[in-house]
Amino acid sequence: MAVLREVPVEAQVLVRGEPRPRFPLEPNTSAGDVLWLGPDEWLVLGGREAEYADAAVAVDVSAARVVLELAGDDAREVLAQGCSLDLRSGSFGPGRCAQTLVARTEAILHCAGDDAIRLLVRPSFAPYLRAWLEDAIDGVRR
Amino acid sequence: MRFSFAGVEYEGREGETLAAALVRNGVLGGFRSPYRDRPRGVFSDGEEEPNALVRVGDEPLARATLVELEEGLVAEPVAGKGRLEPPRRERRYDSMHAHCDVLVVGAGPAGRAAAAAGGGDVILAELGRCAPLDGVRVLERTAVVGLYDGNLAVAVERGRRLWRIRARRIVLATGAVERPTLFEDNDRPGVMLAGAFKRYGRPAGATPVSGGFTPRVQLWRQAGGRLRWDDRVGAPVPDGELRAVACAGSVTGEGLPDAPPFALPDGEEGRIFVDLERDATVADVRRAVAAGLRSVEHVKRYTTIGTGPGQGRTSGVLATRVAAELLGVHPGELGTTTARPPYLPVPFALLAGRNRGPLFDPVRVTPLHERHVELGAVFEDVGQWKRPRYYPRSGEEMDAAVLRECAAVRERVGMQDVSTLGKIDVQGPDAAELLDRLYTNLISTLPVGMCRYGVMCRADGMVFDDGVVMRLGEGRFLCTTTTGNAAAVLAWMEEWLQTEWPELRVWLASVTEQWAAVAVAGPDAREFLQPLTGVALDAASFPFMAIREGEVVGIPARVCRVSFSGELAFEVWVDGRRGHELWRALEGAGGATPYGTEAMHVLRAEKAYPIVGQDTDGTVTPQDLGMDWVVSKKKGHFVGKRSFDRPDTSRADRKQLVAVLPADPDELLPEGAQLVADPDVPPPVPMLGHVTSSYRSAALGRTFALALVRGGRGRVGETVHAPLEDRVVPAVLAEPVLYDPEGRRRDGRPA
Repeated sequence: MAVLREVPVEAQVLVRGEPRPRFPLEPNTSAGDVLWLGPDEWLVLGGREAEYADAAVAVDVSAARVVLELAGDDAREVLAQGCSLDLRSGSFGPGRCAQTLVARTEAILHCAGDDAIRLLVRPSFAPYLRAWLEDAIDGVRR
Repeated sequence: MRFSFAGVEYEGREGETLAAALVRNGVLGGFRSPYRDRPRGVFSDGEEEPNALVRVGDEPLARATLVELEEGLVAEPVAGKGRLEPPRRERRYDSMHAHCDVLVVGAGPAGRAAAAAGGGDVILAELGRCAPLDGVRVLERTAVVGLYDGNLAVAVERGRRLWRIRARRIVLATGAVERPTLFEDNDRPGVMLAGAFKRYGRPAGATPVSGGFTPRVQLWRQAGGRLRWDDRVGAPVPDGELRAVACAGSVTGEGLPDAPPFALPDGEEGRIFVDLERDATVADVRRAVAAGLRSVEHVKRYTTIGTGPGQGRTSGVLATRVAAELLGVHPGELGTTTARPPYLPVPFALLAGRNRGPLFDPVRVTPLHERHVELGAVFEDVGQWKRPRYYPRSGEEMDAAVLRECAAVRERVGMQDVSTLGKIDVQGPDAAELLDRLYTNLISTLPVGMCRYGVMCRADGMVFDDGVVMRLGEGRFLCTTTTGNAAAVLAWMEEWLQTEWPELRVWLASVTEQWAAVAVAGPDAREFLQPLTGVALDAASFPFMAIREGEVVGIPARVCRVSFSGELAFEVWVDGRRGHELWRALEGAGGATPYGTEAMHVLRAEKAYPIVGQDTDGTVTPQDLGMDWVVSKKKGHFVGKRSFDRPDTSRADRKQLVAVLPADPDELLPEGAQLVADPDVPPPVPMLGHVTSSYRSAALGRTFALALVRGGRGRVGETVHAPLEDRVVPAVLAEPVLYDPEGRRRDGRPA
């Protein structure tokens, strides 16, 4: 049964411009805690604005998203109730990420492990998304 | 197991459908036709059933041939039209997305063969029960009801779950449905399709009929497939090919028996039924043809054949054949009707799924929300946000609370959660250039560490949004937007940047939720805040529209001297995660009155600060709002500039924002009220304009309103009239800024 929890992430920084060493170049993939969001856009979980002073742009977004994690062998089925992406493990395996809609809110999905998918969501939408996910977990259990 | 039908109890068997159980119990009738009230009975054993419609529980219009028996099931016959009633028991409807390589629709021999052939992940959807198949995901009791672009199939599982299945390939093995035959009184109970007759075990007293088979081509048609008339089968069959959708089995017409010869029977045509669901007969088709209708689409509309819940499943081809016979043409010449989703009726509750009740729409809350709740705030919806509207004290009505909150800001100090304002980080060497092109006023001249009010217009010159632009560095700005427009403004900026000016080196980021923000406003704001921060707040060190970085109550903060009330005010911005802590500390310091959006609206209206979307409606220019000063005369170009030179945007009689003072200072005009010069002229009474905002003012000791009035600025001092439902309210037009027009309170309490 899927379990939902919040993952504390102290800092997040959005980096724009040229890729830096160790940044993923393949669309919708991650390298460690660096998520590819666009051809010139990365989100670094745990990163701080000051560490990227020489990037074209670095924006502190530490408080701009909450990180939720849905873990369990039916996590993908829970998400599939409200997400139209292909979440099969062959298409969205560990290291994959995507910006998409889950139910009626935007989220960044990040496959952190075989059966663990993280959802990065705006804090104002987090209560809604939590409630939706808990309802969807209930839906799979039936 | 026991079940009841029309109030009579019967014995049913596990796995039986309601229709099968009725027939086995000798119930061949029991139903009525919808318009002519003729007796009817079970006619088929599938989804094509036109007669045996029942209400079961909360399902108002189910086909008895698809209802599986359960212990104690109660069914009532329905004559064609179900009646939706409030549910007696809560039922969970949800949805599921799936992706696969092959989707097979229909689990007959051809469908099972196609599914067994594999080709990756395979989903097999079957309307009825279905045995498992190795390596195949089987969805039984699942009706595929729609095929859409991009190989998207929409299916309904057990009436309770809506599937959206994206497949690389789709195989339609939907089979064929048996056609009725035509003869006088062919609708009477006991007449049933020959296949059903056999599968029901040749019930005594029943009469089997067969007019051949009609391939179920509806999904093929929905996918854009063509049809051709097949004389051997006597019905249209799929023609040509589609890139990703194929047909297999009897839906292609192959393997179906030859259709019996077709001829119009003798007898009273008004009793030879073509569409049982619509009580439509050969006589109706004859009338349509006699009226000059030749296309089956027109015959359908004239006779209503094929418009019932079954959508012509048993009647469509029959109607075509009758019309062709009457017209003396080949049925292939008449064309076919259009098959549109859904193939079977889908309840609205299923389409709504879980998007109802608390999950109907996201409710967005700020980091301070819990505290607002504790303080007893009454909330209002601003877009998806919940914002405190006012904070009533015990026994306090809204009017009293708002007057108290307004007075606190005007006379002492108030505090408001302004975290919902949209915030966009704009960075890059060309950031100032981009903002110069998007705002009507000059942004590039703004010194670092200062902020400026700015207005954005659409290309038509009409106000789109407004906010404060902060310059945080040479190439770094932070733009605030109205709460409801945050996403739209970011999209607007990205659109220009990405499609029109990709050469600009600018990057945008939404930081709306990075920051929590509290406005501290009122003549005592400085005295209130100074003990809580190391930032020097005196007017000389911290001028109007300046930005300072420092700590407030020990939290790293950005402080801006901006005001939406005309009073001395500071906005304190902190990391969103510490917003709650900031608010509690400000509360704890004592003396600042929490105020909500209603007081904010009153205070800003007293100063004639417009609210985009309330005082504007997409037809209002900055000049109409009296803000010529915000439109740069120096800039070469900005979005909307060209439109200001159009004759219509410089007309003197455009609607302009003015204040309205009702003659009776207690009269509160309703927002939206129309204003006329003379209410006594015969209709149509020429309208001068309308009220956009209307409030009671503590500072003015009276009511007042803002209105958009034709040539309003030239009418200041004139009396206008607001005709309301039961009376006409006279009011005087006034200069829009009613409170402190000299702006003497901006730096604090005037000496």
